[in-house]
Amino acid sequence: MSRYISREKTFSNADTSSQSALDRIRLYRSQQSQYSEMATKQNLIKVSMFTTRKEGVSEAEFHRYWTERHSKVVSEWLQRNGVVRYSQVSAMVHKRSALRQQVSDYYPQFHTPSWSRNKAKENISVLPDAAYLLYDGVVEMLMQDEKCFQSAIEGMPFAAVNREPLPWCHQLTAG
Amino acid sequence: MVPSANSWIDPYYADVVKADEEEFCDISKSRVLFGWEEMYVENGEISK
Repeated sequence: MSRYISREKTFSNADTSSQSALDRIRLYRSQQSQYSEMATKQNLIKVSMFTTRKEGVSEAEFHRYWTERHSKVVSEWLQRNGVVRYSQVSAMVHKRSALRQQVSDYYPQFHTPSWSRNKAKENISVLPDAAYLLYDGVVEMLMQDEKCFQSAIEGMPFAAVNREPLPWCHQLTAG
Repeated sequence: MVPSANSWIDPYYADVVKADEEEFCDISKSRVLFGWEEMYVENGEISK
């Protein structure tokens, strides 16, 4: 059974889950808190990529490929360029190592298959007029500079330095 | 991800990452946002 399918089962049974599920949520929140603190102190840039699957690829295939194949292809490449690291529990050792290097970040994959939207519609009556985004998934990354993207594509190692906050951060947060 | 004109492209990106993206994604229908996070409530508590 793929990890994608097993996650669907976990999602569907969330309201009757055991203490272990709560423990996982607490651990996830703890990790996010760690990264939020980093984001605040280092003025990290957050990038969200809303992704759409290719025509002819089923939802199950998309999520399975994204989880099991693409994550392995990009994670080391992104980390090498000062960008990312997985937020999965199994990657905690690497996370701590990266923290010591003061190289930012996390790289969660936000899977948004149609069954999760339908489940939400069944159980949530608030925001009746809000439209649901139909993207298949969202990648969220924290990085020291948006130029990390360019560095990664051009193969120029991004220098992790203590830089000043971006000018437009000052403008929008002042006052 | 579209690089600037005349820039050197990392072979790993071109041959591996981009090729892999094209196996399951339609990048032309994807969208991206840049910004920053401000956290006000976390772990059930108001952030300091």
